[in-house]
Amino acid sequence: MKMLSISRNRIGIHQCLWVLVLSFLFMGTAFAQINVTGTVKDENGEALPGVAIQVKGTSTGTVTDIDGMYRISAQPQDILIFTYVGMQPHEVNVNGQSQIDVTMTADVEILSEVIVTALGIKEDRKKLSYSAQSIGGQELQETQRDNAVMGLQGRVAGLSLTPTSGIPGSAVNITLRGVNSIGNSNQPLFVVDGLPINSGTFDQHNLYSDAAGVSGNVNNNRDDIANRVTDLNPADIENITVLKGPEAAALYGNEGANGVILITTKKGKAGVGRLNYNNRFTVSSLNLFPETQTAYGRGLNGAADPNTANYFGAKIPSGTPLYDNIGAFYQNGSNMRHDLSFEGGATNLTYRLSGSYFNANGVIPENNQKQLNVALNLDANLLKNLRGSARINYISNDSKIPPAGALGYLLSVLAYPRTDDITQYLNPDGTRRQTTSLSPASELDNPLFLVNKNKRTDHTNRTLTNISFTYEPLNWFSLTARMGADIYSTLGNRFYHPESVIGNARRGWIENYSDDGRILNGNIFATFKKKISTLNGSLLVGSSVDDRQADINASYGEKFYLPEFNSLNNTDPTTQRDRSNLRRTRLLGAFAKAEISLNDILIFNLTGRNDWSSTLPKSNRSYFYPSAGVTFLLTSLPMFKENDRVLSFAKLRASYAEVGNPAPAYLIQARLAPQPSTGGGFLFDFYGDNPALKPEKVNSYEIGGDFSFFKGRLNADLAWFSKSIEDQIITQRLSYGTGFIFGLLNGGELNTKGWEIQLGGKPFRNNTIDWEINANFTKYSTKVISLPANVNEYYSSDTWVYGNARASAFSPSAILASRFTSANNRYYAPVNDRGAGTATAIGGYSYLRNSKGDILVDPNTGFPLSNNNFLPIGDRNPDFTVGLVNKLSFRKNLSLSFLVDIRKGGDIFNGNEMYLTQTGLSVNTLDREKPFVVKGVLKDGKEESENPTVNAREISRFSSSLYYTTYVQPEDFVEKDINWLRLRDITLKYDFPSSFLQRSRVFKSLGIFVNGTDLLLITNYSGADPYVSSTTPATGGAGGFGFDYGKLSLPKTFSCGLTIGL
Amino acid sequence: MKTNSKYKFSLLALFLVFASCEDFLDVNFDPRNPQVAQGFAILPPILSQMARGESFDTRYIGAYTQNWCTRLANNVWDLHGYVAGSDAAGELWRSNYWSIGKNIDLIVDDATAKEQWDYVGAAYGIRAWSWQSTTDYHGEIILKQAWEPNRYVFDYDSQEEVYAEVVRVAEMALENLNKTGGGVAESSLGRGDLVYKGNREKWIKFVNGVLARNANHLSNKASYSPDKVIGFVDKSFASNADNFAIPHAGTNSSDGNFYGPTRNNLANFRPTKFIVSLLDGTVFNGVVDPRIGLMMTASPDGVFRGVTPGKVDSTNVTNDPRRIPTLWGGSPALAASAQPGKYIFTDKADHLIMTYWEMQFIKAEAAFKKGDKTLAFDAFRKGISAHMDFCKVTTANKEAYLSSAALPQSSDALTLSQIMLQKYISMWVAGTIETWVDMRRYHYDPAIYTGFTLPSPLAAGNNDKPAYRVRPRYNSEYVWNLETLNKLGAADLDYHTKEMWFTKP
Repeated sequence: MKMLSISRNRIGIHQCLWVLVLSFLFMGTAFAQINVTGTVKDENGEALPGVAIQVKGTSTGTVTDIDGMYRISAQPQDILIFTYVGMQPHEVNVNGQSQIDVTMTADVEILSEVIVTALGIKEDRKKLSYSAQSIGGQELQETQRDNAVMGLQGRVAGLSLTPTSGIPGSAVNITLRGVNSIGNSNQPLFVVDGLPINSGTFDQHNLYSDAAGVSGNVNNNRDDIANRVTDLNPADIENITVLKGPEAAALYGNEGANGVILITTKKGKAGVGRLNYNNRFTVSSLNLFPETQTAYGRGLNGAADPNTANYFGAKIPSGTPLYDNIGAFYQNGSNMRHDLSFEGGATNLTYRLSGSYFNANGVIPENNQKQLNVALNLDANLLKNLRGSARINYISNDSKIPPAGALGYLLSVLAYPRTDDITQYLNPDGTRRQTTSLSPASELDNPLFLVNKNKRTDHTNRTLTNISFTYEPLNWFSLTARMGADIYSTLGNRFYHPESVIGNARRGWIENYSDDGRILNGNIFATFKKKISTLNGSLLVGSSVDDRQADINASYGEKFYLPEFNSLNNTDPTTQRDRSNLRRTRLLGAFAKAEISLNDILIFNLTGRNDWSSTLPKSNRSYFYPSAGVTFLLTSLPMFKENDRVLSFAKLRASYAEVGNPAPAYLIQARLAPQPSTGGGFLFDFYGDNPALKPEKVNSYEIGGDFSFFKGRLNADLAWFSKSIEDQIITQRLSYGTGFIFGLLNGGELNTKGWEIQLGGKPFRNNTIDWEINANFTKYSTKVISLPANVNEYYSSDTWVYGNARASAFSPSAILASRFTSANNRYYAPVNDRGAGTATAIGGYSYLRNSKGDILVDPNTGFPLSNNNFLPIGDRNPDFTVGLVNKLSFRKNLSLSFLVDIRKGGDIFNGNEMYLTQTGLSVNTLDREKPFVVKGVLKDGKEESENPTVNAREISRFSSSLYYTTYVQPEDFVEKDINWLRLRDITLKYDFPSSFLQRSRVFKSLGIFVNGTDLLLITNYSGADPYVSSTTPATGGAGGFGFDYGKLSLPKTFSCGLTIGL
Repeated sequence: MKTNSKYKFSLLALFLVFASCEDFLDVNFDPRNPQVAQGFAILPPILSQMARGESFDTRYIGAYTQNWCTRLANNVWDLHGYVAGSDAAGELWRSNYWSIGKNIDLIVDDATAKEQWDYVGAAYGIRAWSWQSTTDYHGEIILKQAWEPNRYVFDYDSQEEVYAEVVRVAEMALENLNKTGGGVAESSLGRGDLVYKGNREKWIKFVNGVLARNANHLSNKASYSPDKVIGFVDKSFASNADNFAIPHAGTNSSDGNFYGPTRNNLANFRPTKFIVSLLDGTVFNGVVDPRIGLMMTASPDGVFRGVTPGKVDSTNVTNDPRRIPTLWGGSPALAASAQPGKYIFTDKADHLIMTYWEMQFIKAEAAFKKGDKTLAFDAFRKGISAHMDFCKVTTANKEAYLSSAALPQSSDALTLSQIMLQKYISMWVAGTIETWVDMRRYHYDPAIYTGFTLPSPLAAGNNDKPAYRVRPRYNSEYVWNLETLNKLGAADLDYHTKEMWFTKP
């Protein structure tokens, strides 16, 4: 008995948070006290440690000890409330008793779930009129990913995550329910303990090198800079709630339009102090590479030429030694992580202090990320009815990331001649060794030279603080106030060696930058509750303030005195340049929320919010938006209550919300940009202005239902949503006749419709084995109803990484078909309809076709003609995705959990393959010596006739490389309907039984685990891995997912470690 | 009571927040980048954009005029073609509408308020020049609807209308440049004027130069008036000291000359056989022009060579004594940073927008057409002499050449071809856009351009016609203004071969 209760204690530790949650809901007045003691057990008669006991209506509370015993002071007429996650809350009238033993019964989980919603308000999940999903911090932590958010993929319906690459310190693109904004950020808002934090990504367009178009500019698609969510310590997360739509987020204002990820941090628990230590050691290796051919050597047109970078030369003589350059370049990554926390305190003051450190070396030499994360949470009852809590979190992050993308390591490795030893990257005199006589700027760097001689590092110091007070003078009134500050400073350094491809023309260059940012924010709100017979009403009114700024300063210099000395002082003073940007945005909001519950069967809620944004013209600065929701608790009707064995719970819900979105800063009057040309000065920047700018308007509907069968053995949550965004604020490329490169438009409409289904089941459960399955199904697509100014296309220039293909949003096909009608630009529906009218299209060049769809061939050359217009050639949006989480536990000591992630459909632009084809490295060019005739008809004037001339002209792709270098079109490299099934993470964990721990007398808990991530991928994709993005999340709109070019795929990792509780 | 006061307190807090809200929210101005500026801060980069537009586009058009070509085979530009779906050769478009574009109005607005008529005049002078260059380059362009607020698709106007607009804007420029008083002062204009240091007289000459070009380009038309041309030329530059030369600090690639080694834009470019033939005596009666070694560099064997458009430079082999050096004067084996730089191909060399010698050659041509050969002969010799001075040809060598068999020694012996060829030499790379105007006026006629042959075959889409215009900038027009282009036939693959209004009778 004793032993068992100790083993249960470990579970309690993780779930005691709710004690604190519930301890403030009810307040009362004190009279003569009696001491009540007792034991709390579960249905099986086992003691329950960690059960929260609360004197109803007061702040008095306690927790059961490891033997399930408690002691609490109460008054004879008080009511005690017993709460424990997974159990039904239990209320007992004290009635003067001094001994109250309680048996708690297991709950249908969906019924009891308290969920953190907007503003950090804890709500009973069953009342919500919108879809929200909650994930425990432990589950995320057990995925062993250093980026806490990465573990969410597949675990939350409607959430899509795409890493930029698979290396430590890289970024991850996050979207909820598709594309909202066509060109601005679609990243959801991150809220920690009730206040928004910075989750953004440094926008590399702020750098001098980027603005001035210095070779090696980054456009957010070469240097993979992490988003600031990487600073969150997974071990500090108690739980994450994902509010998917604007319905849920109405109270956060515009920022909630993209959905909200609410993070609740772990708080200290009263009682004997506890110390937890976890560690983890990881080995990672890369196993997915694009394939390259080794049959033909360097040259052009079938003739060997050692001085060309292309592989269209003669056959490599058999017997020529080939080097395993891929093997020599990539290494095994290693990563270690240590988490330490201790917590404790008395009922009136609890604390939790945590620290974590990890040091990750990637599979690329010189790639490294180190992070130190320290946090302190304090919770105190300051005065009667006044509770305060505070969190201070300091993060130090160092990342060292070699350049990827164009001129980056991935392509350099592939392009390096296999007949040469890649490890010989220096000449005997220490200078760069080249393999051709091309100029140093025309030959790609040896990747080892690249990563060893060039540097790209950043170092971030960040402090997050959050202070909140809750005052509950009366049981129907409370007031909450929060203040937060998120202050960070990043120092970045980019160093290009004077002999490198990027640095050569400038005899080396350095750029240092600082990004100092802060968010100061706060909110204050009052809640009122009133009950009149069967009507339960509540009203919340509040206001919020948000003040952000980012101060970015870049210093640049070139012409090194010493080739390897990384300092601006090592550059020619006449070449030194600066660029400075300060962005400030402020927002004030006032909001109210009313809820009326009729007999707990029908619940209505209404919210309204007015925002005042600094970024809009004064006349449009203030804007109001409402939301409304209704929840119908079917099973609360008497007829269902009787019969709850099959349908244990059913709820129907519907909601509607509007959100207004303000503009980015400084757009209402055109800016002048500093000019680096002789004499300096200012000229208009690229961006046109719009003095009459209005906020964007998001309208969203959601209907859905929650159902629970067989007392929670099977749960289902369904949601259908439709979300429109009108009056999009877009910086749209237009005719330069406007006077600018980009006009600032305010119009157009997108609509996203989708389904989300979450199914949870416990197919098997007894005392020995517990099996739980959770499945998330997501299906949505974003349609373009219209684009502003009726343009054909909006595109993201950051995503235009290789060839003529880029991420675009296109007008509906009828519009395009009516505009591209000539023989030289014809829209051909069977090819171009794919992606037309969607916000996730691939825009690119295709082959020119006649109206019947035959490819037109140049009669003089036999080569296919290209349609030099950006038309849709693919749609990156998957048909649907499924995440399947399985958890199996055996005797509660041994558990196995794994996540299988399935994606069906969606196109990928295989830019790597296009690059390899155009340079003669692709294995698909091995048939180059075979006679070849382009399938199509000659453009000889008869192409539109009844009998067009079928092309019969034979071309040799061997003796003329032109076919590959010039005439292949991106259309060929859009891989259609890419599916995958991947084992995203798998964890086997063993917790030592309490009998063992008893004997040791040292540990309160002890566990060991082994874990693997990204171990298995089954896909019809021909490249390495379709799960990459060509750009960081700083690129707005739909982002660069589905563009596979120059970015490393996720390596597979194996980890093992210990968890120790003292 | 207690509750009530708390409630009041929170209301008060809300009130305080919103009462100060207006001030709190007034942060929507960029503290690091201005949103208005004075003329002296806007004029310098506008001048640099003039150089940028011409030099970026010369990279491509220089192949049409055979000033240079790439050393590679079948480069489409060398073959009078173009790269589809590319902004290449669209830089003048970019500067006319954007980087110079509305910035002119910023100067005009600010300077008008301050009665700085010299700034207003200089700004309009640049705009007149820009319209002239842009229409000569692209033909029909956006004129009347340019910069119209809330307009996203633009109609094109005829070249005739743009020519009239050049005259109108130039006249406004002259009117303002002739004003004194108010805020007009050499020291004031000089703050922003990198070219003339605030000298209004020279700006007036420049604007007359624009008008001279405008009138001279109409030489094929019945309305052509040589007297008008000569009149503008005479009010224009009087010596090389008046040249419109945009300086380059040359410290790095942002402020260095586009043609200089630091920018590294010309690594694959070589002089053509045609320009070499004009300087090495092939065309000019066996007399080697003293400028040849000052403008270009001989191969290691001492022979000056050029490339044939569309053909690979077979000398480009390591250690080949015939290997043609780069335009920077070094071996192609050297990295750009090790190239010496030469003539206008150095980092600090000025960019020549308009020169005294160009004006003299315009005058020579007009006078020749008028029939005043004496005047033509005088201007012809002044033109050569001025360019030789610019090239730093010694007086002795200059005199020797001027009196040599290369040139006519009397006005009677002067031919139109000699005028145009000497103009071609003097404006080699430094005036390519204008040279292209000339060559199109004469329809690439080998009788005028002795020894000039079009590449054969021409680029695939040309239908055997040489280039007569550059397609409007791809990412401005072909992507965002396509319907207008369709109306003009600009979507045709050979639109670039369509003859210009100004070259037609």
